Amino acid sequence: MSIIKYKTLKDVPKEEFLVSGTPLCAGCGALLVMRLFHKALGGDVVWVNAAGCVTLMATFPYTPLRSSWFYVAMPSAPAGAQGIRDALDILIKKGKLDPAENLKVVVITGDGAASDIGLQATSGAIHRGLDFFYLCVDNEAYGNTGFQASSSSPMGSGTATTKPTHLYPAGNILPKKDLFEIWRSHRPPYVATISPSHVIDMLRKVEKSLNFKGPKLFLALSPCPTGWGAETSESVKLARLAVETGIWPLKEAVYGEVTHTYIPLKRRPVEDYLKVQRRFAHLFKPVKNESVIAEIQKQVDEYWSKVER
Amino acid sequence: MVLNMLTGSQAVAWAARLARVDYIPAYPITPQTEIIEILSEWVRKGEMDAMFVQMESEHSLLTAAGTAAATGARVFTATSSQGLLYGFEMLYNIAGWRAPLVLVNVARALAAPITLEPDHNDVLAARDSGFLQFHTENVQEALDLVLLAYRVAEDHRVLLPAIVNIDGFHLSYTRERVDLPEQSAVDEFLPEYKPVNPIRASAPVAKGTPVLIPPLYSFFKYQMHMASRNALNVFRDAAKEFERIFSRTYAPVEEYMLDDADTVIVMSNSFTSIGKQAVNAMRGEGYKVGLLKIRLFRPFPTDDIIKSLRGKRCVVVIDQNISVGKGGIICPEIAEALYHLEDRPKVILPVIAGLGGKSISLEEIKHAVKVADRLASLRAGPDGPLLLFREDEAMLVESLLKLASGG
Amino acid sequence: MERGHIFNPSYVLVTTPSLLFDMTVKPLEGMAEGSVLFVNSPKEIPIEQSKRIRVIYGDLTGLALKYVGKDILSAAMGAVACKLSGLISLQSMVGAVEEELAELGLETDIIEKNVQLAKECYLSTESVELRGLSHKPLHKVVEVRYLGEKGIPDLLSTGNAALRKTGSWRIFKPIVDKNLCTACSICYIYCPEACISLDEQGYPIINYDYCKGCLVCATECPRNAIKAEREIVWS
Repeated sequence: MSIIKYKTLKDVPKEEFLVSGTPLCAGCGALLVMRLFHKALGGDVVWVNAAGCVTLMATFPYTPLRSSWFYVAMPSAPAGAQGIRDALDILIKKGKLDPAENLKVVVITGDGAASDIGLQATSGAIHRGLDFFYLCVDNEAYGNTGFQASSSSPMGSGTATTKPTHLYPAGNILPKKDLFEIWRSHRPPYVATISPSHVIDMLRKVEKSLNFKGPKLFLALSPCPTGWGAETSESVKLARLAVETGIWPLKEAVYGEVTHTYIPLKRRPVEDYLKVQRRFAHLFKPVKNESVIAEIQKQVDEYWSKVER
Repeated sequence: MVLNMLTGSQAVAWAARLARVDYIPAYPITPQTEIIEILSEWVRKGEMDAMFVQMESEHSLLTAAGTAAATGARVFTATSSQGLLYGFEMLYNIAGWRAPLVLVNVARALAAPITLEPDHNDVLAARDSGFLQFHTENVQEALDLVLLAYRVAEDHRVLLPAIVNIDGFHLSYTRERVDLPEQSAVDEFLPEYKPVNPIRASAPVAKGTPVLIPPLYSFFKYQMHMASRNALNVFRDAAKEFERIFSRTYAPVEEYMLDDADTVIVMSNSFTSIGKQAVNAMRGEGYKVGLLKIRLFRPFPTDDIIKSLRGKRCVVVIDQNISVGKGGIICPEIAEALYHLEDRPKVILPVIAGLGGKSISLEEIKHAVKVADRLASLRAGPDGPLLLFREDEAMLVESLLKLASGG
Repeated sequence: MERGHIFNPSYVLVTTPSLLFDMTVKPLEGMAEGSVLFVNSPKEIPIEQSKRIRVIYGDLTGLALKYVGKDILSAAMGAVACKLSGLISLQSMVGAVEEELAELGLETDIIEKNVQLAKECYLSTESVELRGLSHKPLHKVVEVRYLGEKGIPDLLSTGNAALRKTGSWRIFKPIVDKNLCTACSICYIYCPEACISLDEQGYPIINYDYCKGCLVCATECPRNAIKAEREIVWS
C-alpha cells in the first residue's frame, strides 16, 4: 500500500487533539509521542488507558483531549478496548447506533502495563483479532510510581528497585523483554516500533496501519527526563541517539514479516547514548564498567548483524 | 403460560435472551459453564442477535463487560467464586463508572480448600462494591430476578450494576418448573437501555478519570450509596409492574409463616427451601416458628427486616458463609437493623451452616431453634456463632483424616 | 498532635507562587491572624487576604540555581521551615539534609552543594516564634444532596485542561529570534505540550500561558534561533 500523505515535516497535520495544560513532566517523551500519533489518527478516537504516567493526563475535572478517554484498570486496557469495540459494533449492527458515531479504539499504556501486568489481556485481544490500536509508550520502567524496574528496563540501567550496589554493579541484571517479538508472534496485521525523533517514520506507519483491520500495535521509545536523569531539553535528542546507536531499531511487521524502516549507515557507539543519562551513570563512575558496556554493545551488534539491508 | 423444566443456567440464559441483551463476554468456570454454552450456541445459530466473545480471564471479562455497558450496550455475563474474586477490582470499577449490567454469580464456596459446591462467601464479598445484589431461592426466581435486575439497574435513578446470585448445582444444574415469559411481555416490562454519556464520536467524554481531591471522591461515593438506596423504591415500583404483567410478586424479603411465630429463621438462596421444610415439620410438632427469606441484599432492606422481625422472641440467622474470626456476614447486619427498637427480639442467634454446600438437616435447624429458645429463657446472649455439624459427619471426617494422614 | 490535613496552620510555606491562586489548594485557608506565609519568590506578589497574615519572601529558586545549578528546592525549603519555626538548630538541619540526600545515593559534591544552599537559606530567613494563636472554627456540616445522573464522574468538558496554566512551572523561557528563524516548523513539531503554533508565514508563536520551559524547542532548532532566558516571576 502506498503512503501518500507524509513525505516532509511540512506534511505534519496541524490540528491539535491534545491541548496544553497537562500535568505531565516538562519534556515528557510519551506526551510528544501521543500528540503526534493523535494527529495521524484524527479526532474520532477513544483512548483506553491502563495505570501509568499517562493516566494522570486526565484527572477530574480536567482533560486535555478533544477525543474520548476511558481509564479502566492496570491489567486490562485491551479488555476494556474489546468491550468498547464490540459494543460499538453490535449497536451499529442492530441499528441502535448511527455508524457516524463510530470511533477508533486505541489502547495507550506504558511499558509496565504492556510487558508485565497487562500481557495476558494483550495476548487475548490480539489473538481474537480485535480491531484496535495499541500505543505503548516505553520509558523502560514503572515511571508513575517512581521509576521502579519493569521487564522493559534494559540491562545495566539503574531504577528505584535495581539500584547499582557493590553486589549489583550493573544495576538491572535482567534483559529487556522483547515486546515487539511477543506481539509479532501472534502474527497480527501490523506491529511497529516508533520514536518521537523520527516523526515522518511514525506518521507513515500510522497511515499504513489504517489499511488493516485487526490489531495494529506500536511500541514507542519515550524518553523520560525524570526517570532517565536527563535534561528536559534532551528528550528528542535522546530518542534520536537511541535510534542512531542501533539500540532502538525502527521496524514494522506485516502479518509477522519484518522490515526495518530505517537502518543507520554507521551506528554510533552505545556509550554515546549511555553516558548522558543518570540511570547509566554507575557504568562510568566511580569506575568505568567496561564489561557491561561491552555486553550492551555486543547485543546491539548481534542484532544488526542479522538484519538484511 | 408456558411451563418448562429448566435448570437455573437455562433459566438465566433465557432471561438474557428475552431481555434482548447486546453483548455477552464469557469465561468458563464450574458451575457456570452451562450458561455460556447455551448463549454461545444461540448466538452462533442466529437465534440471538447479540455478540458473544470468550475472554481470556475473568478480570478481562468484567472489564469488557463494564466498558461495553458504558458504551451503551445491554450486557449480560456470568461467573462464580474464584472467577469473581479474580476480577474483583473490576466490580468496584464498574459500579464506580455507574455502568448498569447484570452479572449472574453461580455461587460456589471459595478456595482454599478448593471445592465446587455452593456457599455465599463469593457473592457476599462483593457487598461493598456498589453492585445491587439479588439472591434467588428457585429457578423461577432466577429467571425473573434477572429481568427485574435490568429494569432496576438501568433506571436513571439508580445506574448501578447488579448481581443475581444462583446457587451452584442446586439451582444451576437442577431442573425445576418454570413459567417462561413471552417475548412480547418482556418487551413491555423492559424498556430499551438508555445509557448516560455513552462513548460516541459526536460527544467525546472522559470516563474513569482519577479523582484526586478527597472531598470529591467522598462525594461520588455518597452519590453511589444514595443511588443504591433509591433502588429500594425503584425495585418496589418495578415489582408492581412485574406483578401486573407476569402475575408473580417479588418483595425485598419473603415471609413464610411469620404471623404468629415466636422464632424466625432468617435464610437466603436455595437452601431456604430446606428451611421452609423444617418450619413445616416443626410446626407439626408444635413449635411456633416461621422463616424470613432475604431476596434483595444490596441495597439492604432495613425497613422490611424491621417490619418482619420486630416483636419476635427469637431470631435465628443461618449464614451460609463465614467471616473467619467473627462469624456470619448477614447476622450482624440484621442485628444492627433491629438494635434501636423497643420491641427488638430477645435473642439474635448467629448460626453457620451449609459451608461448601454441606447439607442442613432438620435436626440441625431444630437444634438451633432450641438453643435460641433456651438463651431467651435465660435472658442471655450467644457467645459466638453456632457451628452446625452432625455426628455422622464427624465420623466421616474422622475416617477421611485418618486416610489422608496414613495413620 | 496533628495528622493529615492541617486545618489551622501557624506556618505555611509555598514553593510555587501560582499555587496561591489555585482553587483546589487554597494555602491560606485556616490561617489565623499573625500566622506566617512564606513564598518562594524574589518579589512581592499581590495576595488578597483580609486577615493580618505576615508574608515573608525568599528567592529560593535563585539560590538553588546559584548553589546547585538546578531548580531543586527540597533542602532549601526544609531549611526555611526549620528556621521559621525556631524549633530546629542549624546543626540538626544540616545533619538531616546530609542524611536524607545520602540515602538518595547522591554524590558527595552534590550533597555539599545542597548543604551550602540549605545553610544560606537558614541564615537568611528570620525566626518567627508563634505560640497560642487564636483559631476560629471554620467548618459547618451540611447534608449531601443526591444529584442523580449529574453525580456521575463523567468528564464532558473535553479539552478543558486549557484552564490549567502550566506556564507557571517555568523558570526558563524560550524566546525565538525572528532574525535567525527560517520557519522550518521543527520547534512546533517537537513541543510535547502543543503550545507552539505557527502564524500565516509559518513562524512559531509560543503560548507562554502553557510553556513549561522544557526547552526541547531550543535544543531541536537547527538554527539555534531559540534562546533560554531566566524568568523571575510568573504573573
